[in-house]
Order: sequence, then C-alpha cells, then structure tokens
Amino acid sequence: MTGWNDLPDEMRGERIDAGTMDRLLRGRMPPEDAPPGYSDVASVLLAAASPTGPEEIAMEHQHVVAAQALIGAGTTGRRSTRRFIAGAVVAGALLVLPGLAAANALPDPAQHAVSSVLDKVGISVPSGGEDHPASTGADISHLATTTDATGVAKGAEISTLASGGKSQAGQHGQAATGGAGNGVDASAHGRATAATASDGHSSSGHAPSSSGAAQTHP
Amino acid sequence: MADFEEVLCAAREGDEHALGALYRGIYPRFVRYVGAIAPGSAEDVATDAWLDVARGLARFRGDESAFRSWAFTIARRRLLDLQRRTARRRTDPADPRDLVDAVPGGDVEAEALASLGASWAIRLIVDSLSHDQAEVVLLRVIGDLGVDQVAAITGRRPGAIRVLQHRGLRRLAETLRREGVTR
Repeated sequence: MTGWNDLPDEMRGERIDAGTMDRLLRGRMPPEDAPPGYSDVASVLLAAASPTGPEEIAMEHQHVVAAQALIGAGTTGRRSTRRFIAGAVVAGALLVLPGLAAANALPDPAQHAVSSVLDKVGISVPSGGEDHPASTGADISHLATTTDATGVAKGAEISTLASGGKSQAGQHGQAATGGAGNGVDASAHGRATAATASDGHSSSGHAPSSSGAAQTHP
Repeated sequence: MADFEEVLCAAREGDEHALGALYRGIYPRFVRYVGAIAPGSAEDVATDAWLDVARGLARFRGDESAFRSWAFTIARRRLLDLQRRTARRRTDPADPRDLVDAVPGGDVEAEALASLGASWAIRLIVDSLSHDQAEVVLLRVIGDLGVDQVAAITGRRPGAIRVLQHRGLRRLAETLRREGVTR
C-alpha cells in the first residue's frame, strides 16, 4: 500500500473539508473546482453519478405493471379477506349451503367461499369458477410471496398474471436477464424488448429520466 | 422530483405515472449499485428490490431523501441475500470484486477517461478500492445519500463512514495518478 510519504506534493497535507468531500461524493464537483490532485477523482465521481440513460429504464413498463399488481393485491387482498370471513359466518349459519355446494349449485363466489370453508374441515366440494382467470389480488399476492422465480423473471410472472396472461413480459424479461452480465450497460438490450413486450405502447425507451437527472444534479 | 409527497401518495394508490417517477428515481441506481458488486445479477436483484419497495410503499413515511435511503436499505439487503446464497453454493470465499472485469489499462484507460461513462467509472471505483471503501463511496455517489444515511444502511458509525470515504477518495486519486492519467 502506498504510504503517506509516497503521495505527490500536491496531495501531501491536503485535507479535504467536509463540504468539498460532500460535493465530490455526490458527483457535483466539476474537475476544475476539485482540490489539487483530485480533478480525476472528480471526473470519475461525476461520471458515476451521471443521469440515467434510456437503456437503464427500458423495462419500466413491465416493472411498473408488476408494482401495480402488487399494490392492488395488497388492498384487494385485505378486502377479499374481510368478505371471506363474513361469507364464512353466513355459510356456517345456513346448514343448507353445504348441500348446495356439494351439488355445485351455488353462484361462483358463494361456491368458492363455502368450498374453502368446508375444505378446512376435510370436506371436498367443487370450488366453482375454475374458468375464471387467476388474477385476483389474493392470487397475485400469493404468487409474489411463493414463487421460486426472482428478479426480472418474478416481475414478469406478476405482470403476466396481472394482465390475465396477455402480457408477454415473461418471455421478454427472461431474455433480457440473459444479457445482464455487465452492470449498467447490461440493460442496453432492453429498449426494443420493452417496446415489443408492451405492444409498442411503452415510451420508456425514449424518455430520459427527468426525475433521476433531477436527483443526481439538482 | 416535483412534489414528492404527491407522487408518493399517488404511487401508493397504484398510479402508473407516479410509480414510473419513483421507478426512474431508484431502479437505475439499484442496477448501478448492485451491478458494481454482483454484475451478473444486477437486474434480478434490482427488480426484486423494486418489487419490495412497491410492496412497502404503504408503510413508508418520509421525504425524498429518506425514500432513497429506505430503498437502498432494501436493495442492500437483497444484495446480501444474494451473496449469502452464492456463498452457500461455493466452498471458497468469494471477493465480490473478483466478479468485476478488470479495468482497462494504458491507452485504453486514457481513452475511456476522455469519454467517461457511469459503468466505467463505477468499475474503476470498485477495482481501486477495498470492498468497504467502495461500498461507502458507491452508496454516496449512486444513491445520492448522506453520511448518516450510509451509516444507517451499513450499520456503521458516521465517523467510520467519513474515514472510509476519505481514505477511499485518496486511494482513488493515487490509483489515477499511478496509471498516468493526469489533467
């Protein structure tokens, strides 16, 4: 390791004050304003904090859809739970329901609720509604917490489920993951992917991040 | 970000534009930060962290700076999870910096400095500094976080963060000088 006496004259004895250090480390100090010996450091830090490029947010649409699904799952999931409890109380009070449920003669929601209750005590009746898409908040919440997939693949699974299977984000997201081996530049492949996966509706590949830039260089 | 509180409220309701604004504010930073330490998993870890952030929006309280700090706490936890899983699969301990390609040297480096990009700069930081120094510098630079925030995220005292960042920058300056890249 380089010792103190090996430092060049311009850096020896140089103690960077807190304010200068803060500006350097937030990537806000032009090299010409840097203390002696630190102009290259300022250049490097400036570059590291540079504004976001469009390729870095190419997956925005898919990731936002996945986030919406999770947020929706959180609120509708709680509502569903309350409805389920109320339904279970009613179902327990009405002895006739099990018979109707066994005959699969109830409307789908009631059939599902009664089926769930009876299933807990070991009685199997049809749950009904099997032809409905599995995209309720509870389903999405369940998927988010139980899937073995991670990262991009997980986001794709959630957005696919949330869109009732219409999203192609899964396939494209997976493909995108494969090329993610080189850090920041890894997402450069994504602009066309985002456009394809969103059927051309995504604008993420064209709009530079105003918020990211603003945060980096207010 | 214009009126962060409004954006946050709308995002909690699932508003696409608000979520997009939050996404653009943190996801690219996640990718840069994670990519510096685990390049092969940058997008996966960043996506997991983003989904965790989305899930936790309802319980987050604070301003924009606190939001970045909270988000990076999540991202770092995800990164540590990855490193633990990776370590369990390995029998030999791995230095995360080994995962990063070597920084180009000589004329190539001089050329790169002329057209500095974020990726190159981050790799140079990781390659030049100790793991702890690099983590502190990257959290400060990429996360746009203060000393106290980085201290809270990494579980260190603010004084230790100041020492690490000061030594890190000095070491970076020495590396750049040794490589003959001067201005």
